[in-house]
Amino acid sequence: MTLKILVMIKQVPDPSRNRRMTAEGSIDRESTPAVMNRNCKNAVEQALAIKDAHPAEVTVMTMGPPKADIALREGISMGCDRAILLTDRKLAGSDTWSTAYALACAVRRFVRDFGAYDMVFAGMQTTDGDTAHVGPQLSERLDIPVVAYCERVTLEKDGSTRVRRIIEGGYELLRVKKLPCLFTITGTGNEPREPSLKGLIRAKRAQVISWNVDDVQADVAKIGLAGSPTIVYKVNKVEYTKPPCQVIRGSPEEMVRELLKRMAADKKLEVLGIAA
Amino acid sequence: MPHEPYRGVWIVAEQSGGKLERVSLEILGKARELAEQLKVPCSAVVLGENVKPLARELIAHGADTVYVAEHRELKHYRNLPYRRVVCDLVREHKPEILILGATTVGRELAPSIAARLESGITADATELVVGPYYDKITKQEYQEIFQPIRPSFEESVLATIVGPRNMPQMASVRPGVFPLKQPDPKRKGEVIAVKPTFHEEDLVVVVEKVEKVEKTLDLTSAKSIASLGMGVHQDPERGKKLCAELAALLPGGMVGSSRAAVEAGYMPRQNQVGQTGQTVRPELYIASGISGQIQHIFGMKHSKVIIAVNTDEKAPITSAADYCLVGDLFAVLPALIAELKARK
Repeated sequence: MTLKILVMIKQVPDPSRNRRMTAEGSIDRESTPAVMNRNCKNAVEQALAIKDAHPAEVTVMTMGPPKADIALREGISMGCDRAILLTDRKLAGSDTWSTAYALACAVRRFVRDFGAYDMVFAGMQTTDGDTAHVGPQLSERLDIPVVAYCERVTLEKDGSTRVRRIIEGGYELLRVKKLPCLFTITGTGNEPREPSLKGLIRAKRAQVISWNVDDVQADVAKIGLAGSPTIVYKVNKVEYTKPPCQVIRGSPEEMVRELLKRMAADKKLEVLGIAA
Repeated sequence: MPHEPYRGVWIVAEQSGGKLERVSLEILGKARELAEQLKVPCSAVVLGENVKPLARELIAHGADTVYVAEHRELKHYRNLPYRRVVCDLVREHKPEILILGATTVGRELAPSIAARLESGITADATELVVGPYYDKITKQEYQEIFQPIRPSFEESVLATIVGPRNMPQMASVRPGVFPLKQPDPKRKGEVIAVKPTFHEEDLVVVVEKVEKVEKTLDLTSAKSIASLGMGVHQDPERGKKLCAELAALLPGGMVGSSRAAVEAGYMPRQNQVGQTGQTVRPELYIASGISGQIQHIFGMKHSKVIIAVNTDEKAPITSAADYCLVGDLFAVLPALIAELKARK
């Protein structure tokens, strides 16, 4: 039997670039290059690791603007079989609750078109929103269990699923007796694979399935800015005093001398316990 | 009453092995303050097996009522059974505010509860206030709305987020944000036992093993921390020695580690810095061979001076660092140690 796996990903502004801010203090998404969120890549890798060991079909799904198509194709290039984009201007401004609701509608459409799914993977959190909410909230909307902070998910011969999940000061080993289940994946459990040449060609040619709000039968009263239970009431800019990282290159001795010189200039030498 | 019939400030108290998590008492102290401001009762929910003795501690820290849900199936946290118990209690007793600690448990449980109750929730709040709010869309004016504040966009802004349209209003709060207040052992409160029942579907996830190390090394007291990451993999023994030598040369120095280096068996778990390790803010943090996963950066970014030693000058750690020495830690650390020795 072929396992059906869904991976929920998000395209985020590239965290390694300097991001511009809008006047309102939010990230200017227009001017910052977008990439697949780091933990989402770990989620894709986890799904593909299962596909390496078992007959499985992996669908990568996202909600976002039309250009999120690029992140979906990245998923295909890594080895995913199918890509679905949920995109509609009516979804703009959705908070985590509304996002989870809309994604659940898309998953139901998936079930109608392609049949029941066995597992859903998502990144533990994104680098832009940083709430870690959508995974657990989607599980609730789908009425399936959730295990967050997973490092590794494996299928056992007895049909159960074993999970290693991180907790404060250690980890837990869990067994999921019955699928479907949703798992959120941390950045510490695997190293996402690079796309193969074949994958890149496939990604270029792939047909990304695009659905709007009507296609997934989402109630417009529950999405977008007006449908979201949370409202951003006030945004205050924080004066960020930390200057950018000073990168020092050279031989080890040169770098150490340069470091001490710069720390002296920045009046920070005392933290090393030495005098200027 | 502004939110009739919703009334009261609640927290969900987290425990493991019959001991309350510190963050639960921190948020309870804050919940008590808010309850007094709103002139409503403050309650706590605690779930587990044999957790009734914890009720007294929760009352001493400010709870008027403690709902104790005891069941063998609640011994370890699992989302579905915990979610069911808390949601059932909230539906029955209707608090206006519900607060959880943003631990690995709380960050899974809180959003799933909010999803089920159709409540708005703010993640990782750093301040909680109550005040008036005018909803421009529904044109409704509220006197006492819960207004959690959270840092967003890599802490470049502080966002105040409200959720007045659905009750209860929810937030999760990071450990260490609110001070732990002195308990009052003479405080009186009511303990209500809850007898939960579960469906078979609630119990499909089974906890087979919990590996949790009690904190024996207090990194939060260190003035300097020299930390090691996966960059140590070529020669872990030599790397550990270099790091220990460096730490010994620094004022109040201790050795730290990334989670990855702990998981790989290079470093003991008690040295782990980060969201699931210890959150530190020393005067000096030297991160050698640490790429900088979000969870690690969360645990050390408030250090006064951060020096990264990394072969990759674009590694995420540089987003938090003041200085980055681009090179192999096995070459850079000996040079740094030699220079510090020469200057002593």
